[in-house]
Amino acid sequence: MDKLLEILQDLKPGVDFALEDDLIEDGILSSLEIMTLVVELCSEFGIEISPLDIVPENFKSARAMHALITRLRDED
Amino acid sequence: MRDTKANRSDSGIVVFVRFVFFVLTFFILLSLASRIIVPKSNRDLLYFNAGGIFSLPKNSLDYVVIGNSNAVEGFSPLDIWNGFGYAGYTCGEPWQNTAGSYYMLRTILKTQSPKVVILDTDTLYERKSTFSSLENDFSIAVQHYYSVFRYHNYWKKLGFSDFLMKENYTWHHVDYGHAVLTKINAYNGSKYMASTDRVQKMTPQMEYYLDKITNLCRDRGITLVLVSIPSPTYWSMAQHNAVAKYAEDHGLNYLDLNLNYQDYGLNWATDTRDRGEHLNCYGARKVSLYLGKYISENYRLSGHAGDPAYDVWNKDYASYFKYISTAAPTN
Amino acid sequence: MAYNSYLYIVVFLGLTLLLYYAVPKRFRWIILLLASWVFYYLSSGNLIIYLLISTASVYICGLWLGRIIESYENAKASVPREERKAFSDRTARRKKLVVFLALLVNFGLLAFLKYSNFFADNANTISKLLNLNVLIRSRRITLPLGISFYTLMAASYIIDVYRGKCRADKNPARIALFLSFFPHIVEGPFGRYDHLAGQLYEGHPFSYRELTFGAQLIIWGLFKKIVIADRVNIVVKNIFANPQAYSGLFVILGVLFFTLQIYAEFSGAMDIVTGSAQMFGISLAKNFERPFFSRSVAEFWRRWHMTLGAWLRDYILYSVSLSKWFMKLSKFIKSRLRSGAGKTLPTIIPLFLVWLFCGLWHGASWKYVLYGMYYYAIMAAGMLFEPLFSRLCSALRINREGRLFRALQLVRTFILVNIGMLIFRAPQTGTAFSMLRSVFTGFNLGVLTNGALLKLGMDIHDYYVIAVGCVIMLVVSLLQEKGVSLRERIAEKNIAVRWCIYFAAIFAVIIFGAYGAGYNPVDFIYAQF
Repeated sequence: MDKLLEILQDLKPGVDFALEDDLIEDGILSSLEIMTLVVELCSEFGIEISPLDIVPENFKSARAMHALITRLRDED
Repeated sequence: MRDTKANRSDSGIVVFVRFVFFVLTFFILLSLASRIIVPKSNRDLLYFNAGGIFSLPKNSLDYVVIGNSNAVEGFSPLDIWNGFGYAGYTCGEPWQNTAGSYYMLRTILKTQSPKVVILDTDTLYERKSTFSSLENDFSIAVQHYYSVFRYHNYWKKLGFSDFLMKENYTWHHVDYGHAVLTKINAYNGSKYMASTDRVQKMTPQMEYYLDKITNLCRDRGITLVLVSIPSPTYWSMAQHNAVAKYAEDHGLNYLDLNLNYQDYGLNWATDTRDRGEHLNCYGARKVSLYLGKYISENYRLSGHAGDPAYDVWNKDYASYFKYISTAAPTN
Repeated sequence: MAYNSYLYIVVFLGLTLLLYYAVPKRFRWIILLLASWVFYYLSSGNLIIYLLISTASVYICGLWLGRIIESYENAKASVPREERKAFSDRTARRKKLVVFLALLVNFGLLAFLKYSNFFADNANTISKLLNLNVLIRSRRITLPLGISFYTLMAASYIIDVYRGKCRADKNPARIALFLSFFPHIVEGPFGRYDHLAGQLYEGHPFSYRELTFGAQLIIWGLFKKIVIADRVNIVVKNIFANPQAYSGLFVILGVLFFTLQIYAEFSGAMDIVTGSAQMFGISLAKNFERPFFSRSVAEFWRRWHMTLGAWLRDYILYSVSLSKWFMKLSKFIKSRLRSGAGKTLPTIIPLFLVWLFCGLWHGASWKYVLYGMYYYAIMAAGMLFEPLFSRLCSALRINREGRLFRALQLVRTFILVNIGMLIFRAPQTGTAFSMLRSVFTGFNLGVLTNGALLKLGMDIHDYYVIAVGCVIMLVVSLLQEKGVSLRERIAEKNIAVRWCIYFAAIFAVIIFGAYGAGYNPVDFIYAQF
């Protein structure tokens, strides 16, 4: 989780990712930023994110992303 | 969810009644708009100079000509008046097709009761795809019934007096619908109308409207004559064959002036204004005199020569004749 | 059959609605499918065969994929652990082969029909440069209606099945309806199978609300198309047909009017088709969300032709950036570049393909490639310089959420978009540049007062109509931006007020429309792609 927050802070400084819980609806993360993030997450955590996983529910908050990462790791 | 009017479930009957009233109101408003947003002077009605027909006394015409620019430029009512004493008018619209001819005829018959209607056969062939031709026919019909669709741009000239809906049909066209053009541009193309068995059929829509014209004339006791005004560009033997067949099947007279143009002295070197598309006034004069003779020999119209009520025609002919005899040909 | 024709609105749509609600619910899809095929046949005749080939190809390949996936799921448990990896790899390869085949058929047809002359021209240029004596003749090919639209929809279905987003459909009628549905076949919006196919197939009950709301949307669309877009068309045509004759304010006016034209027309067409579909109880995807309120070009493209943007994102951007080889590449880049660029490059590279595809999708010429590259350059630059820019802003204590800053962003985006429109509309790429230059070289405020603007094909009354029309569109947009649903609001009013609004709208189109004598009918721009 800490590593994830670190990546997020790096991507978009000045946002408190631990608190925000609707990053997509509030327009904090755009689809291109999400792409950057996805590529980052894949290489950092060694997971495979499929296009089907890229839905607002999985990226609306740091917690949701963490849940996604955990799930994908377990699947491997 | 809020209880909006549309959400509230009205009974089917209520909805239906409301719908009927809506449609009714729509058509009432459409009729109203068609009387307000329309030129009040006949000068601006219809195309070319066809609006001039509205200023003539009721039921004063012996015949009318319907067609497109070929008819408007290739036919001169004043020459027929002078030669045979028949009063007529040329009602043309640019690119008129058969649907346009049909509705034009209906418009004319509101105020006139001619004995003979001459239809220029060029309107039977439309150079359009089936689809845009259908769309065109639909809009012609809509425009006929609700003129706001035709004259909607008149809103730009709308004044207070327009809301009184008072018409002012006093504008008189001195050439009776004929566009008198002195331009000369010779047709040097090959001989046309070579004999062939080929038949270029009319489209079903055009034939449908031609049937309607035929029936309308029959119901009103009007003699319908199909006439092909000379035009090497727009007429061919294959088209002639199709029209001749139609005329035969329906007991109509068909006169193709392309066939024997030498007989009445038409000269392609001097009588066309644009290399064989349209006739100029010199060609129109020859065509009209020939056609007048044809009418007088075949239909025995009584005419109005010498009728004092028609004095204005003599005056108009005098100035028309002066114009074409003195105006210098141009190109 | 244009969506703004009498034949569509009065005859075709009217008859189809009557028939649709006259038959029992479970047969209603048949009416829709037949109507769609009739619509297509009336416009494209025998070229309907291409649509049918696409339909059949994705249907069959979808079933095939479904079989592969199913047998994998069934056999998975019985395969020993050590062989499982090899088994799943083998399945993945087979799945890829089928998808490849389906895409080959569909994009192959598109490439052949739409792009073969473009390829031939370029090949000829190259062979001339190399002094080769090879010349490919270009042919006149009539494009089947909406091929650029249904091909992408067919691709989206097959990829969705491949990805497991939806199951292969066993019912060919549903696929056929999804691809050929007459409201979206000509110019979109791009529908997705999972959102639309079920809706199209199930019979919808008659709903007074859906019917009236749909009709209102159609009238609003007609207003934008006939009153506004077709009116400015005369001026736009004039200026772009004689670019050397105009400079300065004329060019600015021409570009602004073209932007207005294409927006009013494309969004108007979307209103007409969405309204048409709504009258059957079917909801199509939204294609416009007031794009001119965007603060950046990236945001503009999320709000303009939204379904195309979403398609490019889901099927090009994702496919590329999540592929294994690309992951390796981005890892490699990151290991070399530790700075910010190392992070943005993995996004910027696939974006190139997205914009190249987007450009070419609009048309088979280098002009449209330039159009795509123009936007690509702006977006890539924006991403690369974002860290620098944000440091600059904080150093200068600029509040990036302040009113003034936001307003400046709106203006900047608007100007950039208009330059894009200039490239899009200019007859050739060279003309676009010379027109842009002439804005500055031939600038002269005098034309505003000397009456020159009235000689472009619009009289003063036409300018009034455009001004009022724009104000109406702006007010509607502002209300929508505030979250007001206008049709709901109207529905709350009493019947007298409602009818006044309806009749005012209908007669505004009839009286102020730019149609009939003096106007040439204007084809929808996007219907030509």
